[in-house]
Amino acid sequence: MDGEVDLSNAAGLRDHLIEQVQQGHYNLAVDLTGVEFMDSSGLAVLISGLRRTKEHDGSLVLISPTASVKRVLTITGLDRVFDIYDSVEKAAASTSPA
Amino acid sequence: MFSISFPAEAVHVSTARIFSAAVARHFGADAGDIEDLKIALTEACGSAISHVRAGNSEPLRVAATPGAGMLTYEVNGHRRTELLNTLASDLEQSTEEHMIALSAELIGALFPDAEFIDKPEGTFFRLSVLAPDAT
Repeated sequence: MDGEVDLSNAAGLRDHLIEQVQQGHYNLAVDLTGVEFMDSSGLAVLISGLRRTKEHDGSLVLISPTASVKRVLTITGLDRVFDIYDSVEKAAASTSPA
Repeated sequence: MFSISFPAEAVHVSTARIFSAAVARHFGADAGDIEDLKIALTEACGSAISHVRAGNSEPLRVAATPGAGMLTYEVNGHRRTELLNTLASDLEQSTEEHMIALSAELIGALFPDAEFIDKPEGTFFRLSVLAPDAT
């Protein structure tokens, strides 16, 4: 993902996450490296995606949020709800069986 | 006063962000405050757009008034306090419920003094940011 996530395009992200879960991908990583801005609609879609993956004992983790996105995650307390990693590789390593 | 008006559609909110940030930057606002401003105004515009989808078709207007080292922004619109069920085609109900709560949380945390005020011409969201060059 890159650019800005707000009310104008959050539904597209929602649809993509739903599609992934419907295809049986229950462990998702959302790469936020290039996301310069995210509002409450984007955050709500991430929560919705997390709930969907957890229904299948999966997870949705966030990768490398920018300072701006990290700020809204922190203000809303979502930084404690989502597992956040510096890279996809680190996220994969943490979820791989020992 | 500086202002911008546009159709109350989500696709135009990014333009409002750019406009608001540019005015704040012009009047010397702090970079961090500008980022907070962009978030809060986006949430206010989103709230107004929700009501537009509920049947209100007035254009959205963002106005910035400089004075006494402050910039005061106003957005015409409404409080996002209840589930409108108007975004169901785009975002499911539970997502919209989350969005309403998160939006209020963001605005309250970033601008505790932000308020909705009632005027004869309607309801307005108002917030102020420090802007040293706004005299």
